[in-house]
Amino acid sequence: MPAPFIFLLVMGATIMLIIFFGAWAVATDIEGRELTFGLTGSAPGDTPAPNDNTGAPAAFGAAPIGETANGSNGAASTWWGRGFLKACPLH
Amino acid sequence: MAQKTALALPFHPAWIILSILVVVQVIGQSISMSAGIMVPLLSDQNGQFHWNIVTISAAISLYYLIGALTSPIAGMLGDRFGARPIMLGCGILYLTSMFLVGIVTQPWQFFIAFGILLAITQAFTFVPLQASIGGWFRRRLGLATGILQAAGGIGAALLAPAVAALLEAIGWRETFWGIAFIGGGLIIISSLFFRSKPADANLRPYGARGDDPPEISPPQEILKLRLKIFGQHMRRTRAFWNLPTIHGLGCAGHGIVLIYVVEYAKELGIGVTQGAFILTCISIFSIIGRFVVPILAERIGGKPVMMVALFLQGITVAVLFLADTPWTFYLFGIMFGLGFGGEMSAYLVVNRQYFGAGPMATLYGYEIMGAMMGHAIATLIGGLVREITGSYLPVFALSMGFSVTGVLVILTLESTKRVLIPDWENSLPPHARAQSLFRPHQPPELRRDPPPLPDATPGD
Repeated sequence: MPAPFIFLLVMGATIMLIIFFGAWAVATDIEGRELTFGLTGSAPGDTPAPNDNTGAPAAFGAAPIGETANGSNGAASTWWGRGFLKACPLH
Repeated sequence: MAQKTALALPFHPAWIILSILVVVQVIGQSISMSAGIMVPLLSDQNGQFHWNIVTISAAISLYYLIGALTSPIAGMLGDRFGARPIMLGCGILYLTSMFLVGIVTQPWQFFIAFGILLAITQAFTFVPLQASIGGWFRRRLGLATGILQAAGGIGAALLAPAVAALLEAIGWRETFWGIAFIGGGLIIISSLFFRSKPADANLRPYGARGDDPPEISPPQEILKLRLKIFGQHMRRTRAFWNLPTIHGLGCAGHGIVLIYVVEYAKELGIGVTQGAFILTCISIFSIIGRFVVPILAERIGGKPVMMVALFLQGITVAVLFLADTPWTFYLFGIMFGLGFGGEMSAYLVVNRQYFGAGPMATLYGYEIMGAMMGHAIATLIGGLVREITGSYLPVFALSMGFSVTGVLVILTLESTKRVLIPDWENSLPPHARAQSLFRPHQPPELRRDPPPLPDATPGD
């Protein structure tokens, strides 16, 4: 087994993980947050827990990934969004 | 043990060097520890900044990425020119970049001041300065490393709530300006009393014996050749590749927790001050791990000790799945801190066990590169998973996965019972070997330089 084998294996797995989650995030953005794998507090219409001090929505309520200044969801139209979707065979 | 000292001190001057490094380490730790405190303030929708969590994650990822890219360079420069000039540069850079963090108003300014400048400062404060301790301690490196690492933990434990309290009391700008002038000033003053290696002060390292390899200060040309040949030998070992990988996985495991645990607690209705206290619990109990693990690693071998510490770090994250009150979070902080502190602290000792007394800053730079990459990737993936799922629990599951993978990689390491490259000097031309360069207790200006190197060097 060559010396850098484990290093390359972990690097490869990490890159695949980034591509998978990146593509998932872009796909989620396209679907208007209709998630394939719903989790508590993540389904459309769910409200994030309020800020304990102010009652305002917590950081999760902030602009989703890729949102542009005019409020349109643009992650899939960006170079990195397209790149993630092209690179991931699962999205 | 007979040791010649320039000053009539009741103890070896290596302990003075260690105490200087402790001060610089505490100040340097304030950079990375302040990141966890910054997240709730930067993301507070009613606060001064109200940036979204993805922007903040990207800035913190950039910080780690730049730190990762800079660390090996910092290590190489440390091996070439010594830690002292680097310490002086760090003081100036720390002062400047903390000052700039104090005046940011826009995300792009934060990206430059924190993501780039403070990342470079952190890499140079961390890598060559910590690695220099190996040159000063031929024996009891585990104890010296333990003290150094524990001091970093003490600094972090005090700084996290102190920075949080200052931010609340006097505001963002005044807090970071205060840190800039006090921290930067102390590093600059410390550099006046610091020496990169014992030979610079005409001393032998602490615990040096007659049969130890001699201390040498070769001319730059020969030093460059020695570093090159040493690096070639190191790169043929599994440890060289796997140690940065393990550090990366370990840091990915705890990095996610350190960045997101306060925000997670806040989401469950726990206040910012109580949230900061979770980080304090982690920091306080990490001190035990930081202090004990290098000592144990020196005594019983680095491999099993690192494995236990990383497993503890990974398994305790499971507590977060059940945590819903401040006390359960504090309990988590206590247990996680023990493993987290041990995970990161044994590398200098393990390097000595694998590679002897060779130049270590470059290797340590690659290990810190792995650590920073781990933090960058974890922050990026953590941010993405949080954005996708709307929950921090899958993010914490990912943290456990990274730590457990790290444990598996440790299993593939060579035994730490023997030096992996004991004969690396045989690849050097005779006049570049330590025995030929050794001039006992002779000031550099009186040393005769060896003959010039041939054009073609071995290993080219």
